[in-house]
Amino acid sequence: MKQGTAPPQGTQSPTESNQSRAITESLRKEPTWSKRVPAASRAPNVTSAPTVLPAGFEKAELPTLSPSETLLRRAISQQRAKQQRNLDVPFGHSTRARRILPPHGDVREEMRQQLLDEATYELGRMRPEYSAVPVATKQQKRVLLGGAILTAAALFVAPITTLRMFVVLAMIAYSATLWLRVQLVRKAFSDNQTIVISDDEARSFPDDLLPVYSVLIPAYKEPEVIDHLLGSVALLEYPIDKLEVKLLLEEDDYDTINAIEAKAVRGETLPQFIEVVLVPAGLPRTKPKACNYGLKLCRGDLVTIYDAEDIPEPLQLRRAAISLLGSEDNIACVQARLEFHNHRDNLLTKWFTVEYAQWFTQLLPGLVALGGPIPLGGTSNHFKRSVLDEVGAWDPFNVTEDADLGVRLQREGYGVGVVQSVTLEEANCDFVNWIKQRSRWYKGYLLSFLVHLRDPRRTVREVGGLKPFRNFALFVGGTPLLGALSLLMTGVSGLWALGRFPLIAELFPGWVGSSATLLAVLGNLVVITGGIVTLRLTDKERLLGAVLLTPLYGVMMSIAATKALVQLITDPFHWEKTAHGLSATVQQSSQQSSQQSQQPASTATPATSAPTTAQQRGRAR
Amino acid sequence: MTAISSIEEVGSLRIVRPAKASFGLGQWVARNKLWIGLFAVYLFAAAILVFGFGVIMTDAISRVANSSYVVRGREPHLAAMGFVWTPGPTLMVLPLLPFAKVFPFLLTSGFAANISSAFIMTLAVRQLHRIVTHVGLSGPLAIGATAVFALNPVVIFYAANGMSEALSTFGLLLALGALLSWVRDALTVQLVVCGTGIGIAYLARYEAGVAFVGVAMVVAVVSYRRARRGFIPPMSAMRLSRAGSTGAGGASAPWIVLTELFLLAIPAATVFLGWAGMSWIVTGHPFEQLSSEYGIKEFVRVYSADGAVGGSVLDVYRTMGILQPAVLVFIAGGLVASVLRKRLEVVLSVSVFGPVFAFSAWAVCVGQALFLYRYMFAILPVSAVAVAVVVDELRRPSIDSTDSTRARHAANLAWVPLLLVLLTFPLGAARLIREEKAVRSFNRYALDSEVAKYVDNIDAPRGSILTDSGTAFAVLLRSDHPDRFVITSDSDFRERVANLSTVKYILVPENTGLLQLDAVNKRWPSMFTSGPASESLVKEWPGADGRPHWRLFMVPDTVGFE
Repeated sequence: MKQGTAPPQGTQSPTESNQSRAITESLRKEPTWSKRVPAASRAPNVTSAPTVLPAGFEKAELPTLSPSETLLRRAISQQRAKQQRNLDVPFGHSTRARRILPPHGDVREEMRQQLLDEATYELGRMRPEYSAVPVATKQQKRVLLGGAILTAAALFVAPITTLRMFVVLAMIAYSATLWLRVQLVRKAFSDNQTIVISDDEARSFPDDLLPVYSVLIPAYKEPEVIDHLLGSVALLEYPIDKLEVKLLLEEDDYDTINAIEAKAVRGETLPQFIEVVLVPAGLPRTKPKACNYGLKLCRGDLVTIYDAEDIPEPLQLRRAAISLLGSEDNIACVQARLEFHNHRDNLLTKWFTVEYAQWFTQLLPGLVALGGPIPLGGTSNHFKRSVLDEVGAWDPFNVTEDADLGVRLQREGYGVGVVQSVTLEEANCDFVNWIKQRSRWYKGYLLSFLVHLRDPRRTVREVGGLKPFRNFALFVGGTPLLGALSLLMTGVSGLWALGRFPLIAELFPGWVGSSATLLAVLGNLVVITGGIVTLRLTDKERLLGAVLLTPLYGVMMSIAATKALVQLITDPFHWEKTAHGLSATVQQSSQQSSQQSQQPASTATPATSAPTTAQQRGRAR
Repeated sequence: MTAISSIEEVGSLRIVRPAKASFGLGQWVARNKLWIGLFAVYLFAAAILVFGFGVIMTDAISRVANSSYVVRGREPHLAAMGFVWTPGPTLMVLPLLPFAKVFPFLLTSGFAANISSAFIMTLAVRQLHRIVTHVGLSGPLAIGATAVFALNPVVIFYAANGMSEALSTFGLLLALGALLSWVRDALTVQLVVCGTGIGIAYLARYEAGVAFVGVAMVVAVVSYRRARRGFIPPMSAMRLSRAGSTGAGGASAPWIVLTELFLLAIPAATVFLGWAGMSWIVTGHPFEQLSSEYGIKEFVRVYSADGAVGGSVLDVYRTMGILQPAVLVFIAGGLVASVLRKRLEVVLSVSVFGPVFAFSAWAVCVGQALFLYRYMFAILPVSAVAVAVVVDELRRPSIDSTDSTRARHAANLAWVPLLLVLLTFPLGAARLIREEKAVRSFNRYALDSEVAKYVDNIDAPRGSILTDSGTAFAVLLRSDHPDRFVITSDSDFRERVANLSTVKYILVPENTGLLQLDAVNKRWPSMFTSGPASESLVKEWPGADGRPHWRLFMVPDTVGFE
């Protein structure tokens, strides 16, 4: 996080910090979990269980206020103050939302097109440096092209030496990403700052002080979503008059629209707080664009996104609200934990489950502790609406808009927290689909990496120094890299060790081969032991067999990462064309809107931006 | 302690973070002055040993030689360090070798091994200090209990002499520390550290690997009992919110036990299998230390001809008594404490070091190993932990009965004399050091220097002198032109031994004792006496007092070499 947000450590007396440590310890020790959970599945109070507790542990005098209580009280006092200020305005919604009220589906067509234009191009106009269009700036292209030419020349002149250099570079990169991974896990254990709010605390927040919460649910071609939605939204414990759910459907998504209408015909109407928003057709047809559109129509102070098939834990909105309102002002977003409910389906879902569990319980909290930018997950991230408006919301052209937004928030001086609350999702259980999804993620990560490397020095300054920048480079850039390299490392060094093929022996001279093998063994060791630790921490010991086979999952990641890399490298011109067309549209449309033209800008979009990739067209999820 | 009264003052998520001390060299030195001092003591002892008394342990110097093949010679490569000897100490020497250009004695006297063992023993003692603190002692009392181990003459000797005991003790103490804290805090990751510690110990001394058996048993029992009780590790506070979750929890006890055993086993097994695999790929045998012609079996075979192998239970007992006379009393006391007061420290120490000790003692008693007192080294760390537990138990009543800090200090310090007595007890162990076989001949490598000097001066081209690095290691270390030799780790060594016309010179020791294992002697048993042809003897160095008797022959009809 930024320097400005650092806690006033200088003023803290030693006893206070001791006390604070005791608070955390006590918090970690005592599960304050819930009446809702069946007693059998939860263990008794931990304090009574172990015979060997740390010396002095039991004697520690527990302070009266735990961190979560602190959050709660601060949130309440803040909301009270706000209510006092806005006595005449019942809900402190932002001016932008008021401008386009009433937010019903039948906003006039002109208004809709203007909103669509804003949803699509606003970020490009407001902060062109953040938009994924163009993929690479001229300077970046020059550097990349120069690098490519140099590499080609070097390959021509001294092929073996060049390849060897690549091997060594790959090894360094691999070790660095691996190192960061270990650091993250270590930090997650030693300095876990996940916000934990107990059920009672969550419920104790007075209803009248709760902010208006907008839930955006983008969906595309998912007719079954509506039943599911009713089920999971009905579970949310949040006052109905403060809750607004926007189901964002594409205008031409007739399947889903028909399903809802069929329901209406049968007389089953949607509850008042659920509203169907039809997003006007237009490219790119992406989740972030739909979310941007929905954001313009909602009045909430806090905003979150769920996927259609998500099952959020009932108190999640309350927990998120308390975390956001109660923590430091610069915390703009909290990410809840995603988990899969179908982990028993097959090996793939098991792997995916363990991976997600580690991602959300260790890697993200580790990143928070290391002060790095947090690449947000696709759903269940809760935002302060005002900040979302300020930074330009999601980038409709980035295929992992969520990760990009996390980095952007940090660059704008905001922090991201991790809140303890689970959203259940469905894991991808099909191999081909998994590869598609994963390669999109990886490509998006690389894309975001390029976007934020446009002016590296500025990024370093904005994210708050070299360390966060390192985290960004090794996590956002390194995750696809780790994926791509794991196969290379394991496979090629395996070949080196076993067969000693002449070319491979040539590429791994002497100690290079030995260290590559060692690194590959170490890498797999870190991944497997990390996975098993995760199993133990998240009560999933039955997935042990799957974790032991994780190297095979690494092979799949490599395939996906290679696909992503190839798409980014071999298709630059393809992208470039798109990019040129789009950026032209951006300029054109901005001119048009400044001239207050009658012709909505985005109608021109489909023709000019036709060669959008399948990834962009497909719903990002 | 005052309760937090104002919310706004602490309205931060990170109030719990203690201020991080800035890191500087000065602070680091200040924090570690004890260990820097100890390292200096060990280093000083090493210098006196090597340069004062001229004691160079064969194992130590041959390890330096092994690691020197990795970086210098005709075919420098990692696998050249060989697979018979444990790789741990060899690898630990490697980082020091670049300095040999400035300080040649690192190689010629094998002093790199001594520096490395002094450093690692310091780390081991530091680890022991952590364990002693964990037991409950603090301040001078903790230092005193640690000193019972650290200043034992045998420990000083093995810190200074460059042998592998330092690294194996460090690995096992690392494992013990992790095991203790796992049993206390249930932090699952500690099991990985524990397994890694055992792996490190295995890489230092193969028999240390049996510690895994004892540790695995402890882990299985503790884990099973916890699982049955429904115990949740503290980190699972992370799992507070699980409403709406499908209840992945509630894994049955066997699964939990299996998971924790795997965490322990994976690092250890990786080390074990990785080393076996490497050995297999390079030499064709996964367990070269057993099967090789330089391996343990052959070693024992040669020695048992001399009747030097094996010992009785009484010998083992006698050695224990000399190493640390009070050991049995304290281990017994510690065990009583663990029963009466439910403290597990001594039980856990025995579970780590016990199997190693038992295995060595068994191997000695059935005649599978030489009787060396260093095989009993494992009792030393255990006795230190046991002393700490007993002292902690004995001082507790007087500490608990008073509220005054000064009285507590006094009560603590009252136990220091006991520790001092314990410290002076094992002085008799110095006698054992003199008995150690490898120490018997001082300055034994002077002859090898002469050989090296002579060979450097003859006009021998690269790869022209055939010799077995297993016996000629000291010559190789002292030679300025190691690339002139064809040594055991070279890819063409076997061919050249079989076809002597591919080399110009042959350097061979007398065919007696362990030197029978020399590759040239094995292939050509009469080489030393009659040479490759008549009139081919170039030079002879007569050996005495256990030193090898070297002969250098010239091959008359050389075909060619590179």
